[in-house]
Amino acid sequence: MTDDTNRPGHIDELDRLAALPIDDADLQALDVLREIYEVGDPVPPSLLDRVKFAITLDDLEAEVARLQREAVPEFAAARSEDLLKAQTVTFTSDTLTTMVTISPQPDVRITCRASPV
Amino acid sequence: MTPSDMPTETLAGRAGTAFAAYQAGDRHRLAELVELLTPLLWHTVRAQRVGHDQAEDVVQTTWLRLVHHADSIQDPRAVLAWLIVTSKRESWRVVKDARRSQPMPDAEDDAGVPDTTLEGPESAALASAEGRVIWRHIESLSERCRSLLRVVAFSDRPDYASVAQALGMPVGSIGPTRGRCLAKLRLLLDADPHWGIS
Repeated sequence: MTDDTNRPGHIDELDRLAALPIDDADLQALDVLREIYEVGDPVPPSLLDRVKFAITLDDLEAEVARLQREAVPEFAAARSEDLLKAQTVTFTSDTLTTMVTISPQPDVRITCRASPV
Repeated sequence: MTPSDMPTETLAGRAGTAFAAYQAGDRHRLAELVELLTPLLWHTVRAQRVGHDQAEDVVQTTWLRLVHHADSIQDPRAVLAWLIVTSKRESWRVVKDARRSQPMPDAEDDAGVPDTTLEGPESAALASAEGRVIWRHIESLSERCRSLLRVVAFSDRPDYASVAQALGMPVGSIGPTRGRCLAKLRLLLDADPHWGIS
């Protein structure tokens, strides 16, 4: 059955079919194919959460890096005056607000508060 | 074209709208984009013979790449194509690394990575008469065609040309024509008395 595709007539027919628009019969075939792959090799159930968590973590790292950049001159200035300076970041999602406070002096302390929105 | 003018009825259109909003500062729209396109990306990656666990890593890496390069994508409507190209490139890198770290495979074995891709779909295909017919013909196609059709099956018809182009298999610029892979499948199905058009 697949041997036929190599015959010259079939090559012409193939080119003709390839240049035509997709029709309902193609879509029907693609629907069957899609279902085969959906059932046979489904997206792992945890993948969406995993991706979203990785993005949140990445944002967090970028934010911490930004804070470090911005905070360094303040820390340097504060050191001589022994001034306590708190750095607070708030993260908000649909259901939860998390506040992280970093107190740099005298003992480094990280306080984290979470509350429902 | 402003985001509100974009076609919203297709996957690429909906993705473009969400991504334009994300670029404009609405960070929460990224979650919508992730939900919308992760299935298509999963099947793009798995079609490149990436193992199951590694495919999860590749999909995650692809999304992080988007976060890091969001500003460099000028046309938000191109985000689906951008993600497909990126996930495919990342898949190749992973497959190549896996080959390098394994003992030399047999000359005849071009895979190098244990291919667990076919087992699941194959048994899923057996579940229906239609599935059995289509799977027999899909298996007779080249791997290139098989992977193209797998990804196309997860996109909407108007997006077919841009998806095929992103996969490196352009199908012509005027309208969503079949292209050779889908034409091959169609030829085989049309000649098969077991394939009924309902």
